[in-house]
Amino acid sequence: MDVEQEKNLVAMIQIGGRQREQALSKIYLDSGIKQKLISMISKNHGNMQDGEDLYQEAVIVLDRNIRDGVFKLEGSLTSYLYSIGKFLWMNHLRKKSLTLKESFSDHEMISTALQPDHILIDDQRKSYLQATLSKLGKRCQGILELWQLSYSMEEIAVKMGLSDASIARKAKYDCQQQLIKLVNESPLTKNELK
Amino acid sequence: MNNLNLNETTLDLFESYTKNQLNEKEKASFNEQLAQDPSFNSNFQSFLLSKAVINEKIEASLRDQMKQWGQGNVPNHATDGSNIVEIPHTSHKVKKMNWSRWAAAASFLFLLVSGTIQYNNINKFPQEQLNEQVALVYEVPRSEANVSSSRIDINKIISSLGTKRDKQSLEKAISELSEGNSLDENYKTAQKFIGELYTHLGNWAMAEKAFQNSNASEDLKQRSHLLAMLKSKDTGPEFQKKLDDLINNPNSSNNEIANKLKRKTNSFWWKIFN
Repeated sequence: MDVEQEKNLVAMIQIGGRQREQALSKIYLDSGIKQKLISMISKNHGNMQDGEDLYQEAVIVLDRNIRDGVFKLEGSLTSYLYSIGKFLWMNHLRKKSLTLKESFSDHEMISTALQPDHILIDDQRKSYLQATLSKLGKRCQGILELWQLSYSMEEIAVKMGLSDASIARKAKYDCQQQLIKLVNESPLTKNELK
Repeated sequence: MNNLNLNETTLDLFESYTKNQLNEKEKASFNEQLAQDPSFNSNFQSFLLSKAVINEKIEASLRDQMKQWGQGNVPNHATDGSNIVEIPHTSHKVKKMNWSRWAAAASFLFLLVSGTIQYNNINKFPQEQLNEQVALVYEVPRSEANVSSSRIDINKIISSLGTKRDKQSLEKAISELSEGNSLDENYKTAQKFIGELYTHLGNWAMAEKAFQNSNASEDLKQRSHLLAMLKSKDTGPEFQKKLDDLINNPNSSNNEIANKLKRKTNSFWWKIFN
């Protein structure tokens, strides 16, 4: 992938909707980065399946960081993706009291601006988020997912089988209220989850 | 907590702030309110957490999608009319082209097409040779025909047959030509035609019998024998020996046709389809 292609892909993820899906599929199917990560993992206490799983998680973090505006395309998108994978694997090994045989180069650290809090979600926070999500109805999950991915209200109406955009907007508002209520019912305080 | 008071306008404001869509003045005002109004701050934190919860859903969906993509179910939005940003052609290949498979498919297709053409040629060949060598054309001068006392109107029968070479038409013509007896002045000519018609039917036994009662030349009999055998696909050793005899006889007028039949019946495709 050249710089222009990478810029395009990042823009498509930022736009959201179906363009994001298309861009992510392009990135995910780039076998070059995947193979590089699998190769790194197989030299560092892992196997091919670990590599496959890790690659998926790295793409997820990449998507999240682009959508949240954390990632700025100053270096290479593919290097960033590789570094995320490497960082995730390093963290996984640390939990098993193992270490990565190769360290991060200065170039990797600087060019990709890796910050742990942008990559790792601690287990407590993750459990809380998943538990809260499970309490929200599937329909609301779907509506809010599409909305957060920047689908238009017309598209949300079509995808969710709602009669028109104004109904979709009303449904989105109701679902958002429900979710905020669930968030506030959490036994954990928001400060703990920050 | 005051978050049950969150109205749509407030949610839209939170959304605009997180998407960096506020101008500098609006942003400053928002930050000030965050710092000074605990309820507003608390609501904003709830909003951020609700987004984090939905992110979990987005990530779960993405995991499912990646499984699908890994199995070859890649989204293609280029055909659904949606406004998609074109991505320049990437140098990597998602799926490697399997050249050996393509080559095998192309070879198979080539053989199939060639085979079909050759099969048609092989099938048409005996009839083409019969039409060329045993043409069934007969024209007696009109004056002679007028005074003829024969019961067999050869001209009319042959004209009526025309270019029809199906079994029914040939047998009808044979029947009509057989009406006269040996005393009929057209008998021998009619027998010659009967011999030729049986040749077209691939029945050499009957053709030979008719030719014996006719004034057909030896060359015609020889040629008809070969073509009757060809028509009935009887092109084994006996047929090949007859061809060899004719080929080795430079004085035979059937030398050329024998060479032609030899080449054809020894070809790869003839052996494949016969």
